[in-house]
Amino acid sequence: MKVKGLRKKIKIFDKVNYLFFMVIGLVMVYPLWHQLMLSISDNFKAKSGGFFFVPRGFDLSGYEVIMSSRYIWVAFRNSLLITVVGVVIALFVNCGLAYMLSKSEIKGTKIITFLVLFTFIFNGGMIPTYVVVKQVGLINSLWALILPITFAPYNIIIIRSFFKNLPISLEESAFLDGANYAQIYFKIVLPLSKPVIATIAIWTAVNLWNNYMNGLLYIHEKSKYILPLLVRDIVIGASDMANVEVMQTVNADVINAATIVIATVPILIVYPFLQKYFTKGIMLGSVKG
Amino acid sequence: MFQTIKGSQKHFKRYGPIYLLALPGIVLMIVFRYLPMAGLSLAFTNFTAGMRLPDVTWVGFKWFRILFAGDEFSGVVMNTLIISFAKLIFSFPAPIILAILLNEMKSNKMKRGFQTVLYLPHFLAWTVLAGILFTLMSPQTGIVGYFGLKESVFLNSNMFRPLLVVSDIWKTSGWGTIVYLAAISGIDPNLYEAAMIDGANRFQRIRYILIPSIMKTAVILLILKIGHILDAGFDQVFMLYNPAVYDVGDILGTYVFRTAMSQGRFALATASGLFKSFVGLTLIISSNFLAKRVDKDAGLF
Repeated sequence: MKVKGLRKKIKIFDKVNYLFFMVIGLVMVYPLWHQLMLSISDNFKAKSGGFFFVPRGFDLSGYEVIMSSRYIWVAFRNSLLITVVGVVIALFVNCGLAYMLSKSEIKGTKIITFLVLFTFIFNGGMIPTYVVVKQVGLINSLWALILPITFAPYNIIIIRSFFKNLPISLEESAFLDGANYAQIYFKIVLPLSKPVIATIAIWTAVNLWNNYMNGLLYIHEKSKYILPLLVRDIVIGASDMANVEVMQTVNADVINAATIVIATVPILIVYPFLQKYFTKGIMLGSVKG
Repeated sequence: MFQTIKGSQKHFKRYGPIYLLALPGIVLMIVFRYLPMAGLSLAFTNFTAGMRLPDVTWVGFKWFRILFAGDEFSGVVMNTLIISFAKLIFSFPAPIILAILLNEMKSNKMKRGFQTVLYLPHFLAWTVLAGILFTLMSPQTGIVGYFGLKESVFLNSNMFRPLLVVSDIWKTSGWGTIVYLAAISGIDPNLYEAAMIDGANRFQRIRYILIPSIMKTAVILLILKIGHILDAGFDQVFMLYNPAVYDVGDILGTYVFRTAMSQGRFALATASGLFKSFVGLTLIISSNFLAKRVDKDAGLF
């Protein structure tokens, strides 16, 4: 009798659990849906407030205004450029350092591991970093959006523990066959580490694509703008991209919505395909030095 | 002597390529992580915007005295602490609960579908999210009119902090489940089997196997969070706040940014940044110490 009651309880639990996630799912998706519907709604009907489940009227003038602006294309190109170049450089740099740290027999590994871990818990902060970037001459350069965040201690530690778990005998025998460690690294270690490399690549790409603070600090010229900066300018109305004439005929909120949709779509298209890599090879337990 | 030179020559001949591969990372680490740490010394100088570094002179603890004497700074620190603690209390457990419930889902298809949806907000920048929130919370285009609100919630001091916490949970909790799901997938299946033979039901298995197994992960993340208690989320606050809510929303990060970038007071801003980093370091070391007192294996280092 007792067991029967428990089974019933478990079945109810399953149903409640599904229901719970349906509600959470709606909460996660609805704000984006709202934005999408707003962006294609009629200018005047859009202003009546409330929930948007379907567009009210149909009007693409928000998109026309945005697409006719030169800046959105410049920002889009710059964002794409720093993301692609940044991911390549970050992988090269972080994997290279992680490879050394994975070999405890190498001199200097201990001290460098400590230096890497120390950056986790102490940093110079916003202004001294800004001063360094300025002294290096990177203000108003797209490199300022890449180089300062390329060294990523968390990623290095994750890659290192992946390298450490690779069978050492493969490398040993390749070394005895006369290969040097650069060849071993590129031809054996990296190809075996595809899951962790894919994961780190995605994390880094998202980080580069969405990084707003570095843009705010280091980029002041419009020709070097990236998408998050442009979105902010438009959202807070500081942009000169929609000229006054257009603003009078097209609702500013609709323009905002259209900009946000354009800035969001690329990442939304890509991420479901990459999802299978997210959890692979990631164990926080391995973060321990 | 001769032998050690010969030994290290051999060592470098063998491992030379590895040092070369590691070099770019070491250089970037020194330039962008350790030079800024040295740059913290600017907190003890008269450095202002536009000043050349050779012209800088030492002023001792002047800026710290000014900071700690003023009301503004203590208000900013209080805001930071209140917002951070609220996020810690409400945002921190959210991914743990979500991960446990996700794990209990029997259909893998459903599980993966919900995960995809939960991860979604993580992939949006705060600038984009702020734009979405502005339209969503506007009486003209948003849903707040539905609940009888007439004015923008972003101008309302009482609503601003809850808004920060709720939007933080919305953005981060789904993505946060990843580490816990990874930890759960690492649990030895034998443990479950043994428990089932002993007659443990589903709730008991969660209580006695699952939760203890992810505690270590939770503790490490908690220590890291506590170390960042004075970072209440620069991007988020910077995008959402405005002068009307400075008194409840201005945090250390935004304060440092404004003092430096709009007022040019670099040394003062560096001093408050140094205060932040120093408190963070102290907190992380002491919370790690405490975690180790409780459980020898717990802790970050």
